[in-house]
Amino acid sequence: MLRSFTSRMVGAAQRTNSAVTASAVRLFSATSTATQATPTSSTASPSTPSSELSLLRNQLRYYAVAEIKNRPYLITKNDIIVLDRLKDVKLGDVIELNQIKELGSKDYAIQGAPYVSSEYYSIKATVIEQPKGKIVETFKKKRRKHFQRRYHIKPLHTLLRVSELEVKA
Amino acid sequence: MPAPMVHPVLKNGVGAFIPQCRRLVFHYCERSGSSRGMIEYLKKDLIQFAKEHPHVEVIVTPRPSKHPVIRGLYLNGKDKVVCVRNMEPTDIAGKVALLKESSGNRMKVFKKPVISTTESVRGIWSPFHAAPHKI
Repeated sequence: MLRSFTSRMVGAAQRTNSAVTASAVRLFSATSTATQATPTSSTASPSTPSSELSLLRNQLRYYAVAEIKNRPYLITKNDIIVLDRLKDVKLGDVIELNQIKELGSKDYAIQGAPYVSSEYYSIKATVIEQPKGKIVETFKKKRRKHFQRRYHIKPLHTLLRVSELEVKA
Repeated sequence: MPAPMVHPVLKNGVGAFIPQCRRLVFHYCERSGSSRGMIEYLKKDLIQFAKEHPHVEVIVTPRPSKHPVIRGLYLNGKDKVVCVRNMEPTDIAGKVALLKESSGNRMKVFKKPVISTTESVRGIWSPFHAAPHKI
């Protein structure tokens, strides 16, 4: 599904982006299935979304909402993702992320149902570090009941650097 | 007037990945009992580790009458020291892996899931440039 955002211009000059307002309601299924759940009144869903993808590709920067271990991470290129320790991964390994819920830019976004088709993007992350975090202390107390507990956790992390985030034609 | 220092913006992992640990120094004592596990580790597992990680310089030095210690030196100039007194070789291998996999940065609490220095892609929300709220 392609969503378009009203352009946010911060500054004195407010230019109306006619391309954005004209295509304010344009929906299409981002998955490879031909059928669409809720057809819109304006346009029929095209089978190849290359025109919509080219809208996205004409923009400058992209973000993606990646799902890693069932948790969403909103990432751009060069970001560091902080995860709980991945056991089966070494330093320097390159991970291809293929569960992308949303892929967007300033004015447009493709929302996956549930995931965006992997033909439209290439997102890679490198394992740069597997550190130990600082001690986290949880203190529980029930007053006047002689109950208090201290739990100490020293979390293990894996840091991933998003080395590539590209929208394919 | 000399030109000001330009610090390069380093994004380890984007183009190439450079492992941050560059040296591991193993100190042990020949005589003391707390070094027993360390000496066993040095004999059994260390050579294998050094072969698997050619980017790490491994130094083994006796340090008499002191507890056994592993000192890791990193590319940002900082070091991390771990005392491995009375530890078994498997535990020492775990500490070595910990030192090898971290960078020289201090241990810190990671509050946010993503650490980013790029500007926001969709821009910061402003009430003057958004559609007015409708009830």
